[in-house]
This record gives sequence, structure tokens and C-alpha cells, in this order.
Amino acid sequence: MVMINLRDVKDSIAMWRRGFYEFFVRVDMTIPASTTLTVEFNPPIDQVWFKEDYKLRADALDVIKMSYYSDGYPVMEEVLIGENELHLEQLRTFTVRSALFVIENTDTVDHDMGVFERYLVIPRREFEKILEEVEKEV
Amino acid sequence: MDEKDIEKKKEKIKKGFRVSGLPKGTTVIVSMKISEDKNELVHAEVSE
Repeated sequence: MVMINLRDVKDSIAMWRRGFYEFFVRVDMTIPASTTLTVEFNPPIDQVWFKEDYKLRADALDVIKMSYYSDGYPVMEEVLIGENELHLEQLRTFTVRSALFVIENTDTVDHDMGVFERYLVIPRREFEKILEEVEKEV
Repeated sequence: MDEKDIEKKKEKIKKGFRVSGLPKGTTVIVSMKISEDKNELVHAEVSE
């Protein structure tokens, strides 16, 4: 089995500059006291998403726990948000089927949270071609 | 959590949830945990 590195795929996209475009997404939400929310994003069937940058804002510290799963694989689990503004530039993932967030408000009062994301979208057929090319090079 | 409490929370979540900028055709599903093994749908949309 050939292991494919995300960096190789991303470098390939950058190299060939094939048909991708950039999106900036903003999500605002209220999480009631002692409540766990699940938010699932499913890309359209003909797209693959590359998360480039992730910024998170919470109105209170050390009360919101967050987990993130990309295509079912855990990227971060039960991370307690301890800064008002958290930049997760290292959180680079690609999503083919689903991006799932589990957000828990452990406090006894409601809280607000905001997420800002920058990501690249690439047509799935182009993504598959790139994977084939990266596999040949590995 | 009784039924009334669940409905109240669901209403707050629905009211407070805003998303913008997603590519057209993206499905968004928001659920609330009711018990260890049960989630209840609060909101679902397909971005336009």
C-alpha cells in the first residue's frame, strides 16, 4: 500500500494550480448551558476541501470543549478552548466526505462561539488525478 | 432533561446558528446530544 502524505498532495496542487478556488467560511453559534452540539459539513459530491486556516473565537475561556473529525478520523479531540481567539494554522486537513465538529459547553450559562475558516476547493476528478500523480512519484 | 428543556435548547441553537461562505451544495447538519447514545436533529440546510 502506498502512503500518501497530505503535504505531497497540497504541494502538487500548488505546483499545477489546477482548478481550485478559495473559500472563506464563517460560522456563528450559541451553545446552551451544559449542551453538546454536533455540526456536520458534507462537501458537494464533486468537490474535495483542503482546510488552510482555522480561527476560533469563544466568549469565555475554559468552558468549551471541541473535537474535530475529518472523514471520520480525529484531528483534535476534546480540546478545551483556553484562549479567546485561537489560530489553528497547523490544522491542515482535507475532507472528501465530511467534516464533523463536536462542541460541548461545560458551563452553567449559554455561550457564543465563532469560527472563521479559509480553505481550497478542488474538483474531485482533479483531486483523483493528483493522487495518481503523487502515487507515481512516491 | 425534560421535553420542554430540550425544545428550549433546540430553539436557542437554531436561532444562534449562522453560516456564510460555504460552497453551493454543501450540506450542514446540526444536532444536539440528548443522551449518551442519542442525538436529535436541530437544523439542516444545503447552502445555495
